[in-house]
Formats: sequence, structure tokens, C-alpha cells
Amino acid sequence: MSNKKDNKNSYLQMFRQMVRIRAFEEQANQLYLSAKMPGLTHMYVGQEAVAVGICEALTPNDKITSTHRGHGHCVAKGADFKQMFCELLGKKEGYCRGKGGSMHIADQANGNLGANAIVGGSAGIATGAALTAKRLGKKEVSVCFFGDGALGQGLLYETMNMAALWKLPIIYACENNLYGEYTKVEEMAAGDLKARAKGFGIESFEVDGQDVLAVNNLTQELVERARKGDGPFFMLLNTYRYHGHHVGDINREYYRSKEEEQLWRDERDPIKNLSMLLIDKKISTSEELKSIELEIEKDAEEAVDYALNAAWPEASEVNMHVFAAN
Amino acid sequence: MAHEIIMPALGMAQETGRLVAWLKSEGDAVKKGEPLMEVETDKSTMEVEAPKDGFLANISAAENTDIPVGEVVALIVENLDDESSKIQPISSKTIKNNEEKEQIGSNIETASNKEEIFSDSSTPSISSDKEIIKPSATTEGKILASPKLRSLAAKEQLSLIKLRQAGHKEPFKVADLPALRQLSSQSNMPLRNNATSLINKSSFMIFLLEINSAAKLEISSELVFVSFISSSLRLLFNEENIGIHYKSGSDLQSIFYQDPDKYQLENITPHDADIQITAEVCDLTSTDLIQLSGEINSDIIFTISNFSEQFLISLDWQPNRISQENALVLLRDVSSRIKSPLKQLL
Amino acid sequence: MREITFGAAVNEAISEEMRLDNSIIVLGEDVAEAGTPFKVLSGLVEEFGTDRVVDTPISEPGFTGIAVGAAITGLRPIVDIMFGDFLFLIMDQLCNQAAKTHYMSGGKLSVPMVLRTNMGATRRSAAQHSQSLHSLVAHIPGLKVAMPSSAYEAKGLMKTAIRDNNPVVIFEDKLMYNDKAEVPEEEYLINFGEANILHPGTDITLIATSSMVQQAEIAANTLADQNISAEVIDPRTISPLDENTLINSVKKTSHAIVIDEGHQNFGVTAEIAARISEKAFYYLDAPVQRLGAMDVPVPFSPVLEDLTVPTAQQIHDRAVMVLKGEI
Repeated sequence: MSNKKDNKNSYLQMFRQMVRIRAFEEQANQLYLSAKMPGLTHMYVGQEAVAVGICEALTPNDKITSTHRGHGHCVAKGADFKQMFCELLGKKEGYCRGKGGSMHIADQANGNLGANAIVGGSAGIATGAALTAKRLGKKEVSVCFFGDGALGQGLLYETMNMAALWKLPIIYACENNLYGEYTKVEEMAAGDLKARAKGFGIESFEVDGQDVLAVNNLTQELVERARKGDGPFFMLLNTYRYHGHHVGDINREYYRSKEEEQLWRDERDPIKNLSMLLIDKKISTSEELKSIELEIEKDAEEAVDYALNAAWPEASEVNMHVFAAN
Repeated sequence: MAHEIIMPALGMAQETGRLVAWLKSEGDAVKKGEPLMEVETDKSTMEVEAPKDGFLANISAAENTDIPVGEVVALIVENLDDESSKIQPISSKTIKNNEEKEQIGSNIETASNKEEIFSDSSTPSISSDKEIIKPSATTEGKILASPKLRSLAAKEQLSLIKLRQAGHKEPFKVADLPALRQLSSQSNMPLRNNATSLINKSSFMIFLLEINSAAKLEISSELVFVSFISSSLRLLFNEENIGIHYKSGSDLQSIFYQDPDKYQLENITPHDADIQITAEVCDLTSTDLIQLSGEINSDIIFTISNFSEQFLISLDWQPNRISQENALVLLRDVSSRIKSPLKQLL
Repeated sequence: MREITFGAAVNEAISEEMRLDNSIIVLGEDVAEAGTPFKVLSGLVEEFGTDRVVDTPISEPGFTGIAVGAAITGLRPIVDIMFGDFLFLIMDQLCNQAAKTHYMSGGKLSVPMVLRTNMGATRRSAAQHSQSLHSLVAHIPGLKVAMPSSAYEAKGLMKTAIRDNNPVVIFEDKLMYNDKAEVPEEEYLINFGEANILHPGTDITLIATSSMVQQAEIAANTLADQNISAEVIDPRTISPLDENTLINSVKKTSHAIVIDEGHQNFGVTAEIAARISEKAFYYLDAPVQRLGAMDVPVPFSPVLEDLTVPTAQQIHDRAVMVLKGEI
């Protein structure tokens, strides 16, 4: 399936985007641990293939809604490091002028309607974006990213029901990283996860969320169908987060073992596996991939330095943007 | 024989009544049936009438106090004492209103602004009619008044306690402002105690003629008055400087003197107005007036006027400045100097 | 001038705006053929079709959330929440999503949606269909709250709400839908944040919202019979609130009663009374009085329910007490 994809640029772009996410997250993790970053943050490391595989199948006009673990989606949808780090640090040049932070980062220009700190909270927004596309005949598709934890939220089922009734161009992308906060998914979600969507008559697919090419291929197919009015669709993406629920969730043996984590890092890492494939298929070389990684690491470091030195918002910002101008 | 006025029992289970206001002052002549005082119970307010003709005397209850029912609050007497040789309690109003009477007296007003009366242990027994009233604001808690009234009262420098003392219902509102202004204008006239003496002026007049003709001087009565009064004040106060604000004539023209008693009469000269005033001297001897209330700036005011062949020397004083006892000493001293000026100079 | 009902005025406002702007859609339960239980939206679906007048499942959080997303991406949805009581179901979508999106995105996203719902007791609908929950909404920054008090107000405020680029919640008193008032045929808008002085007066200010405006006007007339001059003010929107007009009136009259059908505790009456005490304290000649719905769940039994809502008589009596200094 993945060997159908023979466009070198496309492979390298997916590799680059996954590396960008990982580089961003490693820097964010360091910023947080060194107490330079305020607040609360959740690492996407390990799940890069999901965001990249899906977003590489979208145009900038297609809309996504993201989650509290949202840096990966934001990078994958085309965001710039500097503005992202500025936002994470609460600086004026951030995507949201420092008012959103890690959990609300949004990038409207690239179709990212924003991360959301309410689990499942963006299901309505993504579905509404699909309603707009349909109503205005825009041929745009929405992707609603959510985790396995959101399967416990009624809003998701209400909106999937309406999306199915109204045949909206939306893909519900369920990233099953096996744990909702500090609890195994089996302890929180009964029955067949895919069957939930099937109950509404929504076509449901399960895909290896560590295989970026598989994710991308499936998404391309579904996006194309959704644009024609065949939506909505449901994707169950099996994946894994390497870090804890949030930075600071360190001693987590009570809910999962170190051995399990190491197994995923060693054998299921999406970047490692893609680079092996690219080298194996002679699409690229380890030197070329290494130089891409180094270049991106440098970009990330520079962006962090830039953000650390960037200006804070003026105090007058505090009551700006409560209401939109008329 | 004196007739007792008592706090009446107006209700069935009433233990006390509130004396809201005296409608007559002590010393006033009253006719049977005239209202004497206003009394309030939990239900209503009523006026208590004079039971017989006479003079109101021995007021022993202050306004705005709760009095056990049955308690004597005043007397109605048939006559007021009129011995002319000594200073005695009598209403200044009586003098003004009944000029044919020649009583010498002093009057202790039962003024409504009780909070300005200070406790003074030296208060002589003569003031049996004077109650020491504590400011009710400190004993009965915060005055309840609307913010608007408070701000308006503050702007006009009016004290809300006057409304309470006058028995107005709390919380006070802007509707109470006219009453407050009225009460304040009354009580802005400082509380005055008054004593008046009458002395024969013949010795004084002869004295003045003699020293002027003997020494070919033109010493006026003015200089003698301020010199004598200054001497008396110095005896009493033992202060370094005695300042006299001398006013004379019906237009009360002002002249100031500092320590005139330290100079020979012929050397006394006026001083600038910037002195500390010990007393005012209101000299009405060039007029027909016996009393004239001008602007009051002093705690001690002598008024000297003609009263047929006598000088009527009236002393108004603030009880927080000097006690009644000392005021009477002061008045006696001044009176005796003016009555016998030669003795004074010798 | 012609008179039309409150309900017809709402319908006219929405129809007129839908003709002008193709991005406006109506979303809600039984909004299409049924035209809502109160028939306020009757006829819309016939004119605009089911693409623009969309019947939803009974999923208030779901279709409210969809409206938020649609608003962010270019539509101007009018969401119909059949009873104000159901606001509790949509609190996350309304207060966490719609209200905060513009701010959290640093002004890059906006949510131009109208959420119309109702309020008002004495319809014998008991505790879950009778509440007046506008103060909960007004508590949240980023939401505007309009409370029309007549057919005229309903039309003008609705049109303004639809054109606003922010989430606006309109509370319509369900007991007023059949009340008629003069409504011009020409187009007009009523600005948010501009209170209406319905009845100028000098002795006491009666600040009332929604149906309580009518009660305050009745009280003002009976007070006038006693030579008491009451000024009746309708804030029209409680967010934004035209504080200046309210404060200036109280500065003039020195007395105020705030009347609102929400629960009295922590409600609109509390907020306005607090602002008066902050801004007009030294002008007050009596404590500000509040008349709100009784702080009990709305009871079913008519004899009990009628006790819970402020009446013109209560307003009248309270005003007399205030002015007589009995409070």
C-alpha cells in the first residue's frame, strides 16, 4: 500500500513534518522542564504519523480542530515555529497574541481552528465547519482530531449523528493512544470503538497510526470522497504517546510499564520506520535524512531563542478581543 | 407653693417617656393650659400643659432623654426670687422682654445642642438646672442616614447628630435636610451662659470727669473699660497677653487692644487686629440698646449698656472656656472696678 | 402605525435579515415545518428551504457546537434553544467555546451567532421549563445578552443581534409572544448597550428587564396617581449594559428599584444594584431595592408559581415604602 506512493518529495515532506513535530516537542519539553514555559502542556511525541499523514492529505483551506495535545496538528497543518513558540511562551507575536497558549493554539490562515482544552469539545466546531463548507458549496473538508478519551463525551455522538444525517464533509479522526489521561482505554470505553460510528451509518476505518504512509493513503481517499459528498467518515488511528499525559506525568508505572513504552519507541516509532523505509527503497539516504533533521533542529533552536527574547503583550491587550468589532 | 411637673404615664405598659423638647424655658411665666413640654411614647407624641399659672423652674430633665414615668422633671413656682444684691438665676429673655423688671441674674440655657456641653466638675451648684448630657452618637451607635444626605450635610458642614437630638426618625433622608439646616442655624449660635449685673454709674462718671479736668486729658470711658476688663481677665487667666476686641456703637465698630491694663490710661493705644482675642467688649453706652447680638467670635463677651442711672454689665461665656464660678468672679471683679474706679487706680 | 405580536416581530426580523444575507441559517429543534412550539418561526422554511432552516435532532450541545463551528467558518447561524432551561445542556459550547474563541485566538477567529431562547414563569410549566437564566450567560465575558421587552424591541434587537459579529443570546419572555405593539414597517435597528427611558420621572428609578418592564410601567402609572414620579428604564441588553443611563437616572432620583425575572440571588438585580452603589452611592437617599424571582425552583401549582414572580403591585408598594422612608 505504501509503495504506491512514489513521489519522493511527498515522502520527504512527510518525513520533514514528522521531524519538525518531534523537534518542536523536544524543545517545548525542555522549555517546560526548565521553567521557561508557563502553564500546562501535553506532548505529541510518538503520534506524529497521525497528524502528518492526515494533514498532508489536506489543503490549507480544509479545516481541522485539534486537542489539548495539539502542537503536532498545528505543525502538521503548516504552522511556523517562531509564532508557535511565541504562543507557548505567552508572547505578543504568538499565533493568538499570547492569549491562547499551548492548549488553544490556532492558525486560521492554515485552516487550524484551534486546539481545545475540553476533551471532545471541538466536535461541534469541526462539524460546524463542515456544515459551512456544504452550505456554501466550498468543497472543503473538516477533520476533527480527538483522542480515545473523547469517546466518553456525548457531544461527539450528537455531532456524528447530525453529520451523518446531513452528509457533511467531515472526518472524525480518533487517535487511540491507549490511555485517557492516566487510565487505559479498555477501562473507559466499552465495546467496539469503530462500531460507535457505524451505528450512525458512518463508514469507519482502522489504520496503523504509526505508519504515516498508511494514514496518508487512507486520508487521501476519504478526503476525496468527502469532497464529493460521501462523508462523513470515521478513522480509528492506533498510536502511542511516548511522554506522560502532560509534562510532569513522570512516575506512570501504575498505569503503564516502561517496557511497553520502550517497545513502542524501539519498534513502532513512525520517524524511524519511515526513514528505514526511505533508505531501504533508495528514495533517500541516511545522510540526507540526517541533514534534514539537523536543519530542523537548528530551526527549532533558533525559534526558541527568538521566542524567549520576543516581547510580551502590552497590558492594554488584556481587554482586547473580548468582543469582535462590528 | 411649687407644683411638681411629672413625666406622665401615657400608655398601659409604659415605664418611661421620652422628653422630646421643652417648650418653655426656665424662668418663663406660664399660664395654666400652656404647653410646657413635648413627650413621646412608643405610640405618639403629646404636649404636657402647665397645671397652673406661675414660672417654670428647676428643670431637672434634659431634652431627648428617657424619664421614668412619675418622675418630677420641673416645678411651677409662684414667684421668682428678685433680691437685687446678688447674682441669681434668671432668664436673659426675662430681662429683654420685661424691661420694667430690674432683676439681676444669670441664665443657664437649656439649649438643644447638648453635645457641646462639656462635663465640668467645677460647675457650681447654682446650675442645678443644667444637665450634663453625653453625646448620644457615642452611646447609641452610628447615626443612620442616607449617603446622599451625608454628602450634602458634609458639604454644608452640618452635623447629623442634631437631627437625632431633635428626635427625628432614623434613617435620616434628604427630606430631613431643611430641618437639619434649621437646627444647625439655631445651634450655630454658640451655647452661651449669661450673667448680668447692674451697678450705679455715678462714681464712674465723676471719676472720668475728675481725671480729665485735673490732668487736662481726654480719656474716654472706652479706655477705662478695656483697661479694667483687661486687669480682671489677667487676674483670672494669668496669661502673658490679654487681647481685647472692643466693639462700640450700634454699628459695633471694632478696635483692638493688647494688654491695655499695662499702660497708663492716657497711653493706651489701639493694636492691629492680628492679636489673640481673650474677650470681646461690646460697649453700648453711647446707644439706647442694652443688648446687641453681632457676630460672635469670642468665648467671653462683656456687654456694657446704660440702664437708667446704672450700667448694665452682661457677661456671656462659653462654659468650656471658663466655669460658671469663674465667670461670676470675673463679672463681680469687672463690676466692682467700674463701680469704684478710684479704688481700682489707688 | 400597525401593531404586530412579539412573535411576529421576531419572525420578521429573522426573515428580513435572511433575505439580505445568504449566510444566515436557523438551526434548532422543530424550527422548520413546526415553526417552534410557539410558532414564532412559522413560514421561514417555506421561504428559505430546509438548507437554511434546519431541523436538528434533540441534541442541544451538538447543534450549538455545530453552530459555533459554522460561525467561525463563515455562516451566521441563529440557534434556537426551545426553552431557556436547556441552556444548562449547552454551557460548554456556549461559554467555553463560543464565548472564548475570539479572545483565545487573539482576535483571529470570531463567532457571529445568535442564540435565541426564552424565559419567564407563570406558564404552569414547572421547574424545568420556566427559568430565566440570562444572568448566568451575562456573567461570561464574550457573550452579549439582549432582553426585548416588547414587539418593537424584539424586532430591533434581533436584527442587531444577527448583524453582530459576536455570540449574542436573546431571551424572549414566552408569555409575551402574543403581546402586540406598534412596529414600523420600515427597517430599524436598536443598538446594544443603549438603555431606553420609557417613562421619564424624578422621584424614583425603576430599572426593569423583559416582561418586568411592563410591570414597572403599570407601577409607574399607579404611582403617578399618588403624585410619585417614577422613571422606568429598560436596559435592553444586560451585556453590554448601559451603565451611564442607569447611573444618571439614579443620580437624579436618588432612589432605585431593580426588577428582573431571574432569581434574585447573584442575578441581574444584584449586579445593577452593585453598580449603583459603586457609582451613585453619594446620590442615594435610600437603599437600592431588588425585586427578582423568588429563590426557589419554579413550582407547578398556579397559586405557588404566581408568588415567585415580581408584580406591578409589589413594585408600586416597594416604591412607596422607599419614598416614605420606611426602608
